[in-house]
Amino acid sequence: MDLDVTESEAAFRQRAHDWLAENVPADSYPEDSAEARAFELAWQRRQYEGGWAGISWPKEYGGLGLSLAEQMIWYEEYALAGAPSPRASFVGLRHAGPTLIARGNEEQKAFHLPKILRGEVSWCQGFSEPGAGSDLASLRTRGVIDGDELVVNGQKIWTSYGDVADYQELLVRTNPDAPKHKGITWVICDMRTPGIDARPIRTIAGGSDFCEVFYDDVRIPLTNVVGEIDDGWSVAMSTLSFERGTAFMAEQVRLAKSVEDLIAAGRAMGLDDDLRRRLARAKAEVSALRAMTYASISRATALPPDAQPGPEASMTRLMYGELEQRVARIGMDVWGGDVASWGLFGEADRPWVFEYLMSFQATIAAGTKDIQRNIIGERVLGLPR
Amino acid sequence: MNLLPTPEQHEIASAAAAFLAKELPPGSAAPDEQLWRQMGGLGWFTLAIREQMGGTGYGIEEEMLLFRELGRVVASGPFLATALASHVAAVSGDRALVEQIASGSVRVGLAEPWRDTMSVVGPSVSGRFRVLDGAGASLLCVVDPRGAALVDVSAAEGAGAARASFEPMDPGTTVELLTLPPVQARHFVPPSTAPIPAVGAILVTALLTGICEATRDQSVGYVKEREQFGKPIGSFQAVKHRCADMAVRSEAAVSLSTYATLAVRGGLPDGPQLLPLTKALVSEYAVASAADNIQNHGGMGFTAECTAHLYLKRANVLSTVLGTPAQLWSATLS
Repeated sequence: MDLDVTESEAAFRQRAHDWLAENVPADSYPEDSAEARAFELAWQRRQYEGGWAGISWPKEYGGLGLSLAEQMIWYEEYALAGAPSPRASFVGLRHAGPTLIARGNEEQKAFHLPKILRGEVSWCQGFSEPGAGSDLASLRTRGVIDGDELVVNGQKIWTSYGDVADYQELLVRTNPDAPKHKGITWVICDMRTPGIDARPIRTIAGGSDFCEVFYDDVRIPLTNVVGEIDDGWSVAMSTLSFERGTAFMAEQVRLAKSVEDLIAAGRAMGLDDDLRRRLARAKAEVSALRAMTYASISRATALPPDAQPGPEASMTRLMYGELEQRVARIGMDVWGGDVASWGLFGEADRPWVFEYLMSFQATIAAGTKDIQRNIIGERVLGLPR
Repeated sequence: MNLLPTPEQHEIASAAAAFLAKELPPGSAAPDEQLWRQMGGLGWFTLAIREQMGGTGYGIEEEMLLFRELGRVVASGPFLATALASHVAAVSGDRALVEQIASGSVRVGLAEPWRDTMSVVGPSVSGRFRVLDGAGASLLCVVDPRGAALVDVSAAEGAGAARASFEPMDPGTTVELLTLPPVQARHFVPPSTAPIPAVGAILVTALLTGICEATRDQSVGYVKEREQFGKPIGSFQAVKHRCADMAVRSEAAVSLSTYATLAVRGGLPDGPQLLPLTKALVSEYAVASAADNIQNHGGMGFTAECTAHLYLKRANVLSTVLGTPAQLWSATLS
């Protein structure tokens, strides 16, 4: 065990720091989803042109082919520089991309990965349905093979940025007679295909960046299937393991920064002993989350480079989700009466009320906290179902 | 960067685990003279001391791993004070004392100032102290943020020290109150010379981490076997989710304590601040997991026959050593 930093890692950190200091966009994040997509893709393009896209993605698809440790260094410097967390580009960068790297064929990787890295396209997720949330495998959106196409009918929901995305990672039922985990297919859906209707849904945080999506005889070429027909569940599990694992490497760094910002804001406004203790504890917990992430990286480094995170990723995901909510709650208590207004009477340089309301999705998205605990209990601890 | 033990470190930890499972399983009385010397022979009491100073020649990482194993079996005996005394003796250049400690021929108790704002911890030591594991000790290791001192029990008695024993909450940790007139310490090490209080925090945290792991394992083993309503109780979400929380605490405790130890050893800027936070958080985790473990065992968990109570009691005592969580949290942002 060691925390040694190699010379090349130190040099990488310095280069990342310098580049970010020069290039992080100064404009504030747009509220409108279409503008958000354009803003993020422009920023992604800038990262690509600067030589910073796809740190740990393979070189042959436009990535830098570096280690997870270097990926983590980038995320740390990225958060410290105040660079925008991916929202509209999250699915492409953090799970569709890694899933294609792990499970896609050569044509799919060669076509899609460079587009994601160059900021040419954004992706969305089509997993949940009105009747298939935590019980994802009960999904019913149908995919019927017709010649060399899959004809899709049904409905998806909670599709963030579905109204502005170019592609979707879509799960459909291709075999209704097989056991529910065995008849699902993971397919790349071009969101401009006729028959798709994405309707925004307003959230408790005021935005409407997630959608319900309706499919009416949507024809998708069979060449878009990732993995095999009817084997989509295993591909989806690999997607979710990225969503629960490496995707949150970056988010926990941002959370640690939020705690430090809150401590500074609290000190300026005066803290009582209760808030002081809760903030100190939050500081310890974000450190624990960082150490867990480092431990995951240490484990992953000992595995082959294309291995997906194991069920242990659910421990980091659960801890992250609950901690984000605790920190958001502490923030509300630090700001006190100011929270009656979204803009904290203009006092704060970051919209804390928005952070607080958004934090409610942290224990719902990517599998609710109850599902994460089931996964930890059954797949990490081996408890009976 | 790598937070995982090396194969050699893994070997040290599993050899210690195997020895403890046989010789000092949970619920054992404190080791007798023979067993104590035997563990001394394994190099356990001076694990992190250089060989030139009479030590075993490993580092604080290996010592942390050993203490995690001691925590897992709720080992009774003055392991903590003994290890800290070996650090004080080594820093003070007292090779003869290191060798005595190494062989197991010196017993050491752990003394911390107790509700006495006038206590003195320095080259001369005085005041009121809580002494843990002091039964039969010939030496006291006095620790607080001001540093660490070694005081001969005979010198303390010669100076007119008063000692009173109390019935311990944890059957494996003896408790005394000591009122000490000013007495010359045999050795004193201020934090500027060597961070002995930090070593103490690392080792207490390791014991508490071991409790997080052991209570998780004990619960998981039990809820897989115990049946109610015709199936193992571990299949019920209420129980399963409690076990999942124990697993997360354990993973967090192992990762954070390893990181903090390496940060302190490596002289990283965030190390000194991180260590008390780590000790506080892992204390809370250990107490919470030990409490959940009793709940998971139902009525059995409330009996003295089941070892679950030993973890709860030890976790509560250790969480007060070198600062309670409340004290450590309050001190962080003050």
